[in-house]
Amino acid sequence: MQISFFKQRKPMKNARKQSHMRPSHHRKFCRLNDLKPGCCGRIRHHHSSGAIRRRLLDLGLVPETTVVVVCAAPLNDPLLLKLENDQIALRRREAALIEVETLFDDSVS
Amino acid sequence: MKSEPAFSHSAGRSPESARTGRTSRKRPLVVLAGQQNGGKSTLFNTLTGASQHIANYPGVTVDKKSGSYRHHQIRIDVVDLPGTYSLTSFSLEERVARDFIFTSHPDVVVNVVDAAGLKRSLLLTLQLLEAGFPMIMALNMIDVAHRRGLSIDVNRLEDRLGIRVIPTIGRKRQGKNALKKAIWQTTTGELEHQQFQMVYEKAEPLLARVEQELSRHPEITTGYPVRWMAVRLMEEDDQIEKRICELSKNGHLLLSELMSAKTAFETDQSLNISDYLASCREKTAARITRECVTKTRADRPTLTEKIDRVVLNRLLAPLFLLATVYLIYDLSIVRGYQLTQYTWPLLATLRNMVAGLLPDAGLLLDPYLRALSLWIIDSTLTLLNYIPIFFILFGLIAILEDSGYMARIAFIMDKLFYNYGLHGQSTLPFILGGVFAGGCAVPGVMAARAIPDERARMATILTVPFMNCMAKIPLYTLIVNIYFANYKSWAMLFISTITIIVALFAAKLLTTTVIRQMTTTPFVMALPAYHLPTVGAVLTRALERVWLYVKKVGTIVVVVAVIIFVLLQWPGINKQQMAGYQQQMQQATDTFCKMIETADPHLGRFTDSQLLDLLNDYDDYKRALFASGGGKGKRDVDRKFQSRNELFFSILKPEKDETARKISRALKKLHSKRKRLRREIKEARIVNSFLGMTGKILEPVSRFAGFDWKINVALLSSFAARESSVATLGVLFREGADANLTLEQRMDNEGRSTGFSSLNALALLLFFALYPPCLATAIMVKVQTQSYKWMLFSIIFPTVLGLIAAGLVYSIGSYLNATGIQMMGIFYGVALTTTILFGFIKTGNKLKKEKIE
Ligand SMILES: Nc1nc2c(ncn2[C@@H]2O[C@H](COP(=O)(O)OP(=O)(O)OP(=O)(O)O)[C@@H](O)[C@H]2O)c(=O)[nH]1
Ligand SMILES: [Mg+2]
Repeated sequence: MQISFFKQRKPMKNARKQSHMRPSHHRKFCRLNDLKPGCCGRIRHHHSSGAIRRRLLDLGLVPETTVVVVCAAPLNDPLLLKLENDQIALRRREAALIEVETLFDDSVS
Repeated sequence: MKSEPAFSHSAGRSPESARTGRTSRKRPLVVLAGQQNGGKSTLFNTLTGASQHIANYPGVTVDKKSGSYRHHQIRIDVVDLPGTYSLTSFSLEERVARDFIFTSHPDVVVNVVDAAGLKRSLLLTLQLLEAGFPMIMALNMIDVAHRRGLSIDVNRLEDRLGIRVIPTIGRKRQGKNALKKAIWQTTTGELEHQQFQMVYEKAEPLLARVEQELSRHPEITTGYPVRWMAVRLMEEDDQIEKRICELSKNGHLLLSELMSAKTAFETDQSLNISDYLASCREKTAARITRECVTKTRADRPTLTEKIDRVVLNRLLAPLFLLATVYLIYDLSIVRGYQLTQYTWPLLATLRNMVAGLLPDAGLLLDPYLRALSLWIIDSTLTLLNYIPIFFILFGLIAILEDSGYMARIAFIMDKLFYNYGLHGQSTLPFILGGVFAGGCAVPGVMAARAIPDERARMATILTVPFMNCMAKIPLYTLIVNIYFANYKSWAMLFISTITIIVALFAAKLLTTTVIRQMTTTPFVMALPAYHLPTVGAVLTRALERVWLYVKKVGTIVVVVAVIIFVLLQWPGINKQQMAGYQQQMQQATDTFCKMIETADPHLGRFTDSQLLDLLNDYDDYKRALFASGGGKGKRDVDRKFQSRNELFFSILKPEKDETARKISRALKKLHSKRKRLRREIKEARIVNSFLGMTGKILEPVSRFAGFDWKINVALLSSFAARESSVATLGVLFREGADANLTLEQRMDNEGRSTGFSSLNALALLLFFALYPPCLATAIMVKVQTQSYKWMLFSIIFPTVLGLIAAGLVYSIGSYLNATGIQMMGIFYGVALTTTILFGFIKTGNKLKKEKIE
């Protein structure tokens, strides 16, 4: 079983704290892989393990951070993510192992 | 002047354990550590003046590299480490970096940090601080940060981290002196700081417990700070786990005890400890970044993002990619080839100069020194002839790498490659190997090192040699010109794309069979920001790679040329046969001498050596005239030869006088007789040589693919260096050479009489395309895979594949009575469909260290 690092309440509290985000009434969870290009989500936890999990954490894809799916490659596979100032390429396979909370899209016009 | 200082860690900073493992060393040691693409190698080059490979592409440096510089009369060693995102032991480069740091115990760790992505970089910085070595931060790419409107408060950053922070711009060599000074002050202990230490809040009690347990076992912790070890252990670092089990008597017991403490803590707090530790670091990094970085203007898309919107656009991306590859092809191969027309005469002059220094040619047989030297020079020069092409090619690739587009190509191509067991980063090796035409498998195989995925790396190494390297081109051109003259562009298209198709096919074949068990790693890559490539960097890189190629030519090819020479000469022809040739030559010389005596009795009889001189002079004169370029050059040549030997010259270039002309004509006749005999001897020798005999032995097998023994010899010799195939064919298809027919015409004539059809040609073409890597590449495969087994495999596998493909095409084609071009279409269709279908088959992935949670 995957042990969730943050208790369910926490993201909620944080979401309210960050005033520039519009308050979300119903929180929706999905896999990073399911986000449409241009959408943005906050990482909840990783279902991956070992090297991949490590690498994702090292790149800053830590629970609680916000990522934007910029686009997918022409053949629809690797996704291009934006995280703070970084652009990160990630295959859908691995993106499917990251659970995110969908956020209103406020960073991409 | 300062006296030599004692190099020691300054008090109060380095944990006890770090010091105990330190070896005594005379010179201070500095290591450059940091995340990928942060500019470590750039700073390394700036400090030491070395020319370490730099590219705007993550993961370029895969092994440590050392250099040194002088400061205050003291030599300081510097080591450039591969970029790592953390200090765990999950990937190869991380292990290299970490092992080096802990075994060498550096006096200073220079943490090279990308100022524009400070937060992410700090994640590693915090781990490095835990390692406890005296540290300095080089805040690199400060120019990029400024461009993005980020202003960094260096003093505050120093204060927060407790280390010196030096802003640098690696590319412009800015900050070099400040960095050197800080390094110096740190080694001498002039700088005293309290280095920042991470606090992991909730996890502290657990860490304290682990630390306590570990410190009871000095055999485990020697050389490592206990704290650092405790944190790594909680992050499931299997190298540390292994260390505990191996070094301690009841290590297993200790380990399971610690692990159960960890699990208890996790259930108690309902969190995942390794995530928690990472997120603590993340929060600290975010806090420090918030405190030290201010945005001087509102967030707006960076230039890189804007470019990517266009370049990575779904519809435009393939167009840009195709345009790029086409441009590379056109500029390097097409234009480069035109350039070789100017450089070839230079090489030819060089050859003639050397030929002049060697012992003179014999009448029928040359001294071995001469024959061997010329053979080596010719082999080398054919390869050196490609230098202009390589220079342009490597320059363009350097531009691709430096601009950051190469990483985008990997991103675009990843899906396609992934379906065939390869990796987005296989792109660079393939381009270097010659995707369309023109490249070299040696740098290609070398570039495969940067692929993090073990299985994809192996698949890439084994398939790069299928690409069309420069050396395959002459034979392609030859065959296409003879047998597919009417369909030239189709044939060229076939050649340039079939190799890719087959490479993908082979990669899939290998990943589903032989190398299936190898571990794979996912494609996770930070795309670097675009940089404008600098002229200097591009030129140096191009020169370096060309130099590498020249070195390859200079060593391996020369050795191999000698071996092939021996194999082609011995055992050679027997005495009787030789005596026959000598008799023929004797007759010819006798006729010539008699003729002279009757024509001009004043000349007297030539001695044998005089005659030989005359004949060689004739050769030299013709060659010199050919190289002179006419006009004034021609007159210079005339004058030179006249002053060398007045008498000979009067025969070489007869005046109006009738007898002189007669003599000159006779000389010409004698000369061509000699040339013919020499060629006959050469051929007879090849037939009776080891290589020739092997070619004949192989004929029964190779007949399935339609190859006769001559083709076999050419293919065998091409293993040494591909270029030799055409040279060997040139010797073997010698009929008509006297009539100044080109090799094309000769092969065509001979082909008609022996039934070598376009179908045979197609089979040969295919086999040659799939033929095993040349020796130099095979050696490179050995270097990269560290195994002779794989080297052998890399030779046998393509040979079998090539024989099957060529055999099938030839047999089916003969059965259907199809022409070469028809069969070419059929084969292409079949190969393409199979490969596409093959791509849909899923390969099982054995991910590294899969753990069930
Ligand atoms: N604008 C700018 N570019 C820089 C600076 N320093 C280095 N670069 C460029 O950044 C890229 C990466 O440099 P490298 O020295 O190869 O980076 P590295 O840290 O050795 O990378 P890996 O070996 O892959 O870990 C190259 O294209 C450099 O030209 C800098 O201060 N400013
Ligand atoms: Mg480097």
